Formats: sequence, structure tokens, C-alpha cells
Amino acid sequence: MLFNSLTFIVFFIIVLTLHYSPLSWRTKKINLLLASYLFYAAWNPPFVILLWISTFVDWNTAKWIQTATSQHKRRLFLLLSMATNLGILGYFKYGEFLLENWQTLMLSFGIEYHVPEWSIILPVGISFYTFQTMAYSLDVYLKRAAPAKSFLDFSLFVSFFPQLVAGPIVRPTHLIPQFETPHYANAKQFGWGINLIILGLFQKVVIADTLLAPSVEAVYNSHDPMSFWDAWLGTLAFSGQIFSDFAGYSTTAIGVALCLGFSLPTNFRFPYAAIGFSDFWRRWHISLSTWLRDYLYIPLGGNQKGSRRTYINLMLTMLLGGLWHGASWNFVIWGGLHGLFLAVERLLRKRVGYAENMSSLWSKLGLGLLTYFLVNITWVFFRADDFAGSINLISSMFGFAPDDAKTPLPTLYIIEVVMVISALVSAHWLMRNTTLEAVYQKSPTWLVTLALAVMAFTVIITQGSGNAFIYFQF
Amino acid sequence: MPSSTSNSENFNAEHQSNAYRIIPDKPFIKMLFIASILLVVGLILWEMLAYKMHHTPGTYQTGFESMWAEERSKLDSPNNIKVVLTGSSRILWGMDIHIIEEHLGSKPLQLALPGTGPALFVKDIVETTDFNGLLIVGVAPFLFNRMDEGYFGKGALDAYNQQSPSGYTGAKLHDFLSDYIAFLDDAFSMPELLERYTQLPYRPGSKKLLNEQWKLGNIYQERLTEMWQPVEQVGSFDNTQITNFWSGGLSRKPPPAKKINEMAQISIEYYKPLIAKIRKRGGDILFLRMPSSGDYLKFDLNSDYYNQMWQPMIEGLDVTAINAMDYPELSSELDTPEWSHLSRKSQDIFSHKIVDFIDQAYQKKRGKSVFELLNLTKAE
Repeated sequence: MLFNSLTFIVFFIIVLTLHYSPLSWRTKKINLLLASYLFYAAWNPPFVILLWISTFVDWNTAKWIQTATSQHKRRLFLLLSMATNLGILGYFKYGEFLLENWQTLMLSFGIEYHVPEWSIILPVGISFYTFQTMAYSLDVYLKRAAPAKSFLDFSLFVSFFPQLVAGPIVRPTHLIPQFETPHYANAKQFGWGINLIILGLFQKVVIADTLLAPSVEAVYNSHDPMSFWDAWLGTLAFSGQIFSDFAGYSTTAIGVALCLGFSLPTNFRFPYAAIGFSDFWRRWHISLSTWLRDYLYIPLGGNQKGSRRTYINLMLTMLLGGLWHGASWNFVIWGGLHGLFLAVERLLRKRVGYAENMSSLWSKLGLGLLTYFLVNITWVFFRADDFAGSINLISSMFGFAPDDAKTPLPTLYIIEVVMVISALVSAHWLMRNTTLEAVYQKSPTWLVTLALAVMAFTVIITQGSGNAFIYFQF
Repeated sequence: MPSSTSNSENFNAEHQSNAYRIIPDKPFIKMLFIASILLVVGLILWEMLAYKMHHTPGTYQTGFESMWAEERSKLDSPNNIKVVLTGSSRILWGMDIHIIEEHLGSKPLQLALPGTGPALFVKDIVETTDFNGLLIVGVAPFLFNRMDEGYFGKGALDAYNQQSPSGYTGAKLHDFLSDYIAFLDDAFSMPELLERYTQLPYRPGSKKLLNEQWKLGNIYQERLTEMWQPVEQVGSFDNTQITNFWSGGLSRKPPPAKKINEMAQISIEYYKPLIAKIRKRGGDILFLRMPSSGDYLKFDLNSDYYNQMWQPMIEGLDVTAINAMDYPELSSELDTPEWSHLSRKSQDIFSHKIVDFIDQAYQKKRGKSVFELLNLTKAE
């Protein structure tokens, strides 16, 4: 079910009514669990079984890990959990990719291997909930957390509908305790939750889908070479589209959870005002970057095993982070570029110190714009259909467009992209050291009321065609 | 990734400390109340503007995909459907299913789709259903001979084959609200209005937005479709927008005779087994070439579609066929304001007359009444 759909409005009203009705807390949690399964099944009912498998396996393996008498057994149970979660993820998400690459590898040795037809549909949001449940088993194994006391609470943690399909990826220590005691929103929390829902939907429906997506599609859906300006405008539009789409989902999810009385962590902090790539990853998809840090980078040794090993760990983490987004070499390249930029930044830091500590506004701005420029280069690989398409666009962006390059963007689209991206990047810079809540608090009440009404109005008159959120495919 | 953090000492503190979000201190209830009033006032004004621009309630934007899928699924369950209409937009805009029902005694199922050749759908109906009535296939020159999914074929088939439960309920809710709210018309959404009415200098080589965003008709329940009133006014902005779009496609040269012959042969080979199959189970197929005028008609005449394509195809398939262009009362006496589709009034006239034409053509070709084929009694 999409947040930006009429079905969700009806669904959410029913959920809220049940949540605030005079029922026991346990009954309300059962209602939320059933609602979450319904929310997921609304795409493709059989895939709910995957949620049940993850829930059942991780609930039991965590208990067994906790009670195991030897380290060997603990490791074995953890392996069972990992194999189940990664097995499901691998089968649905990476099966075809692995087979195709195996075929290519065999062909390079002169062996003809025919790949069987692969017509498996990718379950929505599988990477998100898989990582969330894996975090639970890993936390118990690493003795960071005790197993959940209630199967109901744990099941709800795995499938809690506001963040089930596109995050934020929530840690068990954050969410499970909230299910243990009755949680309801007070008037202020509820009001703020509604504000966040409207803001999130505005980001998705108006900015991402209406103002930016047409330019992105005009440039990226064509396989013709693009002019310098069109390549740049299409890519800048994508930078805004993917942010507004994904941050829009997170903001809506946080708002929906808040209306029910639950807190979800912040997932974005004005990433296009980042100075450097480590700063970028502290601001972009925070729940994934911290997951990768806690469950991959640090277990690999982090920066504790010498300089060379640190760089290897960084690169490995980012390559896998790229692959997490999808089964394609383009995502691997995207991750690899981020790993490379992180490594270069680390190297430079050793010589010139932290960029964030620079006193001059202009040097900060310069480095920030350089970061945004490089982030845009990486977005080309993220969005383009294939490697050849990425290289074509990159060539155009660096001024090597052929004479017959296409100029598909009409004047209206150009105006939209320039205005939206300028406003977006400026807003990120103005808010880079603060929070949305703080800015909202400082703003005059009449202004935020008017902004709220205007955002809700534009969401409704835009109508939207029920486009799925980009990150659902991951 | 925040690489500067290299240990997990503060792990639990980090993931628990922000368990409760900071909430700004504002009078939210009052704010939401005022914002709601502003929103309602804005929407009332927007609705008034929609009416002023001839957008009315009851228009279903889901008609090309979700509603098509819904109509198509009627063939899967036990039914008493005797006639199915398929083809492209001309037959969709040309037939009022309720008027046809008056004359035929049975309401046709409307499965035509704009910009989409009928090939895939004829195959789908013949091969995957047990439909044994009359399948009326609308013929629009050259579009009929396209064997691909066209503009809406993929979306419609996807909606039919794999529509999610949420997609289905979303379409139903939208249609329900569309019965009361005019601004829910897809053609009145903000992006479409922006692209249609924003007059900016044309950038050489870019997409022509005016060519892409236009409205030709309204779709009502059971996919009854009619021409949108502003398009009926020849020379109006909306009418000119559409004729300009058609002109783009008609500016190319007609295919050479050899190519047309090849296309005819492909169509014959494609439809022959399908016609045989449906006849075997008691049904039949009838081809109905819909009327056109203006530059469309000129293009068809220049390509000699009638002699090069229509006649060889009809003869090769031995199929009952009506060429509306042969009958002034089905073509030149009717109004096609943008050269390709019948106006609302002409749709009524066409629908009142066509059943008799079908019956006569069928009797001439197959030696029996179409009412006999369909086990229906002719209305007096």
C-alpha cells in the first residue's frame, strides 16, 4: 500500500480509530500487527509469508543464542539466522544477477551455460526488513540487547507498517521497548505527526513526482547522447527527485508512527549541505549508514587495524552498501565511488584536517559544492539503466557531448528544475546546523499554518498517479 | 558512512537516546483547524474553476487501465455477454453501449483502447476465454495493423493480470469520488494544466508539451466514452491542440504499396486462425472500419488504404466487415470535429444505426441474422 494513495487514507483512519478505541493494549498491538500484514499484503498477498518466516526464524534463533551454552552453538544459531535472511534476500533479489554473471564467467572460459528463465517478482522492501531482523539476531549475539520478551512485540517490530517497506531501518533496542507499554500520541505529537505526513507527501507527490520526475525521465529514459545542459539538468533533477522521494517516505513514516504514539529515528539531515562524504553519510539514509557501520564496518575491524585495512574496510562496506540497493553492477560502481571518495577524504584529512572545522564560510561552501558535484556524478550510475548509459551521460556532463546531442528538456522543465534544485540546496544549507523541529518552532505560527494548507492543497490538486516510491524496489 | 566512528561503546545509548522525538511547541489543534478551513476554501475555488473549464464529475481517469481490466475480467466469470467491442479509440468514442443495447437487446462489453491496435486483445479473448458471441473489431487504418502493445496495452494488461489489491481499491475509491468531484479529472491535475496552458518559448529539439497533454473525452461507468465538449468546437484551443498532434503523425509519407501489402499479409496470417477458432465454438468476428475526416481521410486516401489493405484483408480473411466510409450516414453525414472521432451527438446517431448495418452485413456474408447467431430477439 502506498502512503500517497486513497486506499492508505481509509486504512490509516481505521487503524487510528482502533488504536484510540477502548481496547486493551494487547488487542491494539494485535490490531497493529494485522494492519501491518494487510499493508504489506496489499501489494502481493503471498509475500506476507516471507515476513512470517523472518519473524519465526529470528525469534527462535535469538532465544537459542541467548541460552546456548557454548560460543560454538551461539555462532551456529547466528549462522542459521543469517543464512535464512540472506538466503531469502539472495534468492529474490540477487538470484538472476548471480546467474547472469556466472554465465558470463563461464563463457570467458569457453563454457556455454544457459541461464534458466528467472521470473521471480521482487518482494517490496525486502532489503529493509531483512536488515532490520538481522540487526535483532546480531544484537543478541553481540550481547548488545536481550531477546524480546514477547513474540507479539517482536512480530510487530519486524512488520510495523509505517517503516516496513522503505525504512527508516529501526533497531530492536529502539522500537521493541515502545511496544511493551501503551503508547498514544498526545495532541502535540498527533499535530506534529500530521504536519510531517503532509510535508512528506508534498515532497513525494509535488516535488519528486510532479516537478522533477518528468525531467529525469526525459533525460534518463532516452538512450541518445544528451547535450551538456540536458545531462546536467537531468542529473540535478534526479538528485532532487531521489531525495524528495526517499526523505518524503521517511518523513511520512515518522509522522504516521507519531500519530500512533511511536517514535522513529530521523533518516535524513539536509544531505546536500554536506561537506565531504563522511558528512554526507551522516546526513543521508542515516539508518542504513549506521547499520552498515555497526554491523559491517566495525565487525570488519573499522579503523582499529591499521591504515591499509581501514581503507579496505571502507571500500568493502560501501561496495556492499551499493549492492544492497540492487542487483546491478551500476549500484556496485555507485558504492565503489562513495567508498573511493570516503577513502580520499580520509587521506586528505590526515594532511589538512577536518573540513567541517574550517572557519571561512566560502571554503565550507566551496567544499560543500564540490561534495554535491561529486554526489551528482555518483547519482548518474545509480539512475542510468546500464554502464554504457552512465558513461554517455558523464561524458556529456564533462563537455564531451557529440554535435548531434539531444536537447529533450522543454523550457518549462528547465525552469522547474532550476527553481526546485536551487530552493532545495539553499534550504539544506540554511538548515544544515539545525533541525526541522527547531526551524518550525522559530517560524511564525501563521506562516507554518499557511504553508501546511498550501502543501496539502498542492498535494490534492496534483492528484498524483500513485507512483511507487523509488526505494520500494530496494 | 560515518567512518569516523569506529567503536560501539555507545551503541545502546545512541539507539535509545532518541527514542522520543522532540515536538515543536505550537498550537497544533488551532493550526490544523485553520489550515483545514483554508484547504476547504481552496478546494471549493478549485472545483469552481474545474467546472468553468468544462471538467465535470463522473469522469473516470482509470478508464484506460483499471476499468479496462475490470471490464475484461467480466469475461472470466459466468456471464451473458453476447457482444464485445475492441479496437482503438475510434470505436471507443464511436459506440454508446446503452444505445446499442436498445437495438440489440444485449449490452456490449467495451474493450477498446486508445492508440492501441486490437491484435493482442483479439488473441486474448479468443484464446483465453470461452466467449462465443460476436467480437466487433474497430479498424483505424494502420493502427489496426500494429501488433504491439500500443499506448495503453501494457498498462491495461498489467492491471488485468497483476493488479494489486491496493491498486484495485485505489481505483474504486477514485472512481467513487470522481462521481462527486470534478477536479479529480486526470486532465485537470496541476501537472497537466501546467503543461497544457503554460505558454513558454519553444526550445529547439525539446519535447512538445502541447502535443502530449490534451483531453479528448470523458469516460463514464462501463467505459462509456464521449468527446469532451471543448474539443467539439472546431478551431477552439483544445480542438486545435489535438489536430496539431494528429498533424505531426500525418506529416510523414504513407507507407509504400509493397509495405502495405506486407502488413496486410501479416494481419491475415495473424487473424485467420483466431477467426477459425471463435467460429468453431459458435462465435464470430466482425471488422468495422470507423469514420474519419480531414487530414486523416486524406492520408488514408493517399495511401489507398481501401484497395491496398482493407479489401485484400477482408477477402483474405473471409470475414464480415463494414466500412463506414462506404455509407454517408455512417461517415460524411456525421461530425468528426478533430478528424478522427465522432462527436457526442454523432456517436448517438452512429450507435442507433450500426446494429442494422451489422445485421445486414452479417446476413449478406454468413446467410443468417446476427440475432440468430447471438440467440437474441430483434427489438421492434
